[in-house]
Amino acid sequence: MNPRLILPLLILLTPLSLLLALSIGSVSVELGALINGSDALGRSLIVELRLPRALSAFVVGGLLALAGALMQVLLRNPLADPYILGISGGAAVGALLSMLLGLGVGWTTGNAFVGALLSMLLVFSLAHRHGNWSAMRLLLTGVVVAAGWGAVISFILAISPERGLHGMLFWLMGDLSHAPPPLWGLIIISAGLLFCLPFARDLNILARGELTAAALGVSVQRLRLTLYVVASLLTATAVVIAGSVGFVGLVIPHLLRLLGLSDHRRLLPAAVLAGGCLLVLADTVARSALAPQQLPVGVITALLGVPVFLYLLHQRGNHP
Amino acid sequence: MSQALLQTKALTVEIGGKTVCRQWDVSINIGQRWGLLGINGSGKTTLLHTLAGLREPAQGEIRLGETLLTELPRRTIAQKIGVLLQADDDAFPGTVMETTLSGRHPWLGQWQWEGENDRMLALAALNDVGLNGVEQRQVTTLSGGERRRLALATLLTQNPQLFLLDEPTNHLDPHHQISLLDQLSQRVADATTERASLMILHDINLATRFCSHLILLFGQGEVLCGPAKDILTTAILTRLYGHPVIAVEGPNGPVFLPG
Repeated sequence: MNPRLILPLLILLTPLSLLLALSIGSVSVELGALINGSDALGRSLIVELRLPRALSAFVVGGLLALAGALMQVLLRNPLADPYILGISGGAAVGALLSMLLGLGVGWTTGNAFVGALLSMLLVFSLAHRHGNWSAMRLLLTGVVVAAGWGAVISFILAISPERGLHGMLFWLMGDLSHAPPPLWGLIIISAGLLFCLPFARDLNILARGELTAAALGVSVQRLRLTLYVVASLLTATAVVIAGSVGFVGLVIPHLLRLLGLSDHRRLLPAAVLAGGCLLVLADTVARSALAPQQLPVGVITALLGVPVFLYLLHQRGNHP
Repeated sequence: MSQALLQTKALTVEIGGKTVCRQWDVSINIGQRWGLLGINGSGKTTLLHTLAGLREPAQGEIRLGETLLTELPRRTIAQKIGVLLQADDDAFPGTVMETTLSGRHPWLGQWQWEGENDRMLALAALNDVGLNGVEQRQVTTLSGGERRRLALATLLTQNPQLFLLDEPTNHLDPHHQISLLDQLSQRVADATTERASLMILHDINLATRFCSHLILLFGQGEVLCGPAKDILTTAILTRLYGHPVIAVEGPNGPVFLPG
């Protein structure tokens, strides 16, 4: 497949996936009745419930895929995902503590963001102590901090009363049913992508090695710091909207690279669209497969993501 | 023909508690082809990286033309100095063409895409190293020698004034060793472009054939540099390598062999 075709195809696929998400649900809405205005309930169902939720799903998927693509170049590791440096762990501890204390949804969201930022600063200051931070040092610091958050999360789950556990587990698995209105998310994902595009060619060079990049005129330390801050903020935004939705950030950049898209000037926008579409479709399945019961969307992305990831790993067998 | 491209003054380079050179002055002038020789671990690569501005010296200064290297932005340095590193790493491999075009990076603006002119330069460079016809292949499918030639093509596409090369002949068969060093010599010899080169070599006879000047690293900070003809003697080479080196008369002058 010609890599130049991927981006136009995704631009076509995006409205289709959103339309599909609007038309599928536990209540079926007739298109004809919707247009001539006779179905007011159906109209409010679509405009007030399904549309914001589909847009939130798109935003979260786009944020995670973009953050994943950036993290993979920053850590120079194709297996990196947006959560690998512990940002989701910090956010989860903030969110679960708020739930444990019985605070409202607003507090949960706010504290998740505080937790994510705290984790980001903690990992950065630990990895950066001696001025020169290598990709490996950052990766190790992040993985260990993430493991630490994991222990705190298990501790909170262990001491939580049973009635709170369901909400906590949904948050941890990734769930869009409490997503805030999608406007801010749409602004952040657009701003994030626009901010990244001017240095997308620098990412191509950095992906070939730090020394090579420096020799070709890239200010490596400054670029890496920018990548770290941007990828972390994108991830924090995604986690605050929908909890820890897995695999989008890992699989989407990989899938696009496997299809031959190695130029980040095309890869980054393609990742936003592909991640967005995947999460819109996954969320549609999550809320309609076992309706009226809702599944956490993270379960669906992981169920889709695990086989795809294993397939990729198998394909790469010859070139580890 | 004596204008300095790169100049060091009282340069001291250290790595891991070892001194590579101490209070060292050298001037790499337009038209000169320098060779850098020394035993394993004497700090050849460290010195090359320092001269390229990729690591900080312990003391002293390096000037590119009139300006201190530390005062120049990376992009400006990359327009003047091109580096062939010992090995590239391919966590995220691309095609041969994409890799070659990355040599144009320092010449392109923030939003600019590679144009027809950049593509022509890349194709010409691939042709010069004998890699024509494989533009769309993945880099991971190339052999070690082909990758080395690809790295050289990328450097030629970058088109710097000063070529710094870390073992350019590594992995290359004898034909490609000679033809690539010939290419490089011709570019440096072309007086209209004001170029110079400095390369790390392990083969004394390639140094004899292709270098006008030599830098010898003895370790412990001792450096000997100057015109190649003054330095290439069996006595100096024997002391450098700590192993007897003998000279045999060849068709184009002496050939040096380990004794």
